[in-house]
Amino acid sequence: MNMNTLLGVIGVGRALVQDAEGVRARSYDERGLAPELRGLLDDGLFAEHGGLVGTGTTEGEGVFDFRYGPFTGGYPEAGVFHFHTYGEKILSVQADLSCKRRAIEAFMTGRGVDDCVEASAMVAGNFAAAHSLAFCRAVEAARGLSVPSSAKRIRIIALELERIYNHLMVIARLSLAAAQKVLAAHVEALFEETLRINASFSGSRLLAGVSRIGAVAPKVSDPGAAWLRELPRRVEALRRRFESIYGASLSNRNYLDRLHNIAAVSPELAARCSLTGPSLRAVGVARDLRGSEELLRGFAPVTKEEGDALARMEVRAEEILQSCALIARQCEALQAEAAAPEGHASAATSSDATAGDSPSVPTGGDRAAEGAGVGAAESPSGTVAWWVELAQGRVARARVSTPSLFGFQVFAEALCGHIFTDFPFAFDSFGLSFADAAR
Amino acid sequence: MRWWPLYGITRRLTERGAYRSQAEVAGLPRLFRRSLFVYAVDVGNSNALNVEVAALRTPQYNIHRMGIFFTDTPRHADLLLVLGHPTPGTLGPLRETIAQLPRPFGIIHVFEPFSTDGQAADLELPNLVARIEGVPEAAELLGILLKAAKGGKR
Repeated sequence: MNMNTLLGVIGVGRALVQDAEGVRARSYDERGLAPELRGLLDDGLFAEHGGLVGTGTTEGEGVFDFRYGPFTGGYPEAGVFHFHTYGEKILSVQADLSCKRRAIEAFMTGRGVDDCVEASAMVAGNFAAAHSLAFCRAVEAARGLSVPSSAKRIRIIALELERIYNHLMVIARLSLAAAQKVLAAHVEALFEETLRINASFSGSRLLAGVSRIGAVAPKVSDPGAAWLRELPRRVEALRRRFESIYGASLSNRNYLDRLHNIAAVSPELAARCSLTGPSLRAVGVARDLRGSEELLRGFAPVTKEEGDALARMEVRAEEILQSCALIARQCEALQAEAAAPEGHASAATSSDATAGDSPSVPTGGDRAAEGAGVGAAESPSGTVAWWVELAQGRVARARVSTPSLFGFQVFAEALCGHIFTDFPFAFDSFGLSFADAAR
Repeated sequence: MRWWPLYGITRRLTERGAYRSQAEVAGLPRLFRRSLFVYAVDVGNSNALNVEVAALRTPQYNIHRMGIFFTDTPRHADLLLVLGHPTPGTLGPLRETIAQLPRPFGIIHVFEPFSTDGQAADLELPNLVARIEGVPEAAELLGILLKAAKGGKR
């Protein structure tokens, strides 16, 4: 499907737009925009609408607003759902994001870029690698910095590890909701194993601090580091275990029936509400930012056609296997580059990014203290995009587009007409985060 | 079709570990030495703390063998685990949740160093047994809970 996805307004008549080539800042025409999408594109969502996202309300005889949250046993994040119902069937849905609103973009104004890299990771701790990478790419674009290929490979590894543990977390929650406790326990065990792999790779279980401006953290940049020898072995073991568990789960009718036909999304709804990520790929749209990565040539996104919770789970499961393969390939390439004679790129650290040990590392990055740039990354739940404007070497203005925000709108529309017991399957299958959406 | 119970019992996932924490933790009443029910609430963290709490519930830790249980309601809770710097939207519900806890109870507040409002997260919570800055890993978190349950002496 050839479409332009509007991800956020950054100024009068200008917006972040994703097309087949990636995300860029360009002019857009707001005529013809769906009203629900228009409400998501700027900060008016919080300033004027109290952070409410969804379908609007329903009134009628016996219809009431069932408020669920912000603290519930059923969902770990602080967020509020408003279900309008007369008892069982859900007629309309609104999600109140305001409980997780921390105004991180406003916090960045006037601060140094290194502080802002850390702040970008705090938008959603479980998407820390994707947010910090997209933010770094935006600053690199603004400054005209290039990054050594080995640093790019390490960033890809971090992004794929983040995808694996988030997808495992989603699948564990889905299997728990379907009362598949043995399946859930084994998937949860792999989730914890992935966090440990993350720690041995980067020093952080949630991969915080891997990306730096123009480089990667010193901990991961040494081509002779132990993690480079261990990582392929541990990821391969994880892949084998997951493949076996996932294969067995596909023969479990109780599990699959519970996901089948739940909160099905049509391609039209996905396009109207700027849906990205695995939820978009589950409706048959082969769009993934990894396809435009120069080091991932030939990348083919996983897609399914049905658009329901089952399709979203299957896309995530197959992406886990795909991510394991991508990590193995990047590790092989890093090892080959490390073994190659001098002259090949090595990963610059933030402290030696200007040392000139690679032709692709800029020697005067800090000269470009003014400018604006866009950076994006394929997070576990879709496109994360940052637009950053620099002035005097500091962040003058920043704007982020998160996949969860658009996902909440699609989830709300897709859940209407279902009953309450479908809620966990519908919600968890989208992999949404209040923190990510509220930022 | 795989027979899941057999698959489950033929793979040993639970690990042995000492799970000690160096954090300053005041003890809860001796009543909770062998059984501690924990209610975790996110009041505005980035999700990092939620992920670590999810990790604590994985089979590797098997927290039930140590008498630690997560509950879905404050009514059944002995310990309230408050996660994050509170936002304006969560302060009221947090106070209400505390009012619903049966007595005796304790509260542990864990928060990330990063905060957009620059405020220290001192909420003057009642019965506070620990106030921890950072994102403790699941194993560390388990050590903190065990220390609280054992009277702060582990």
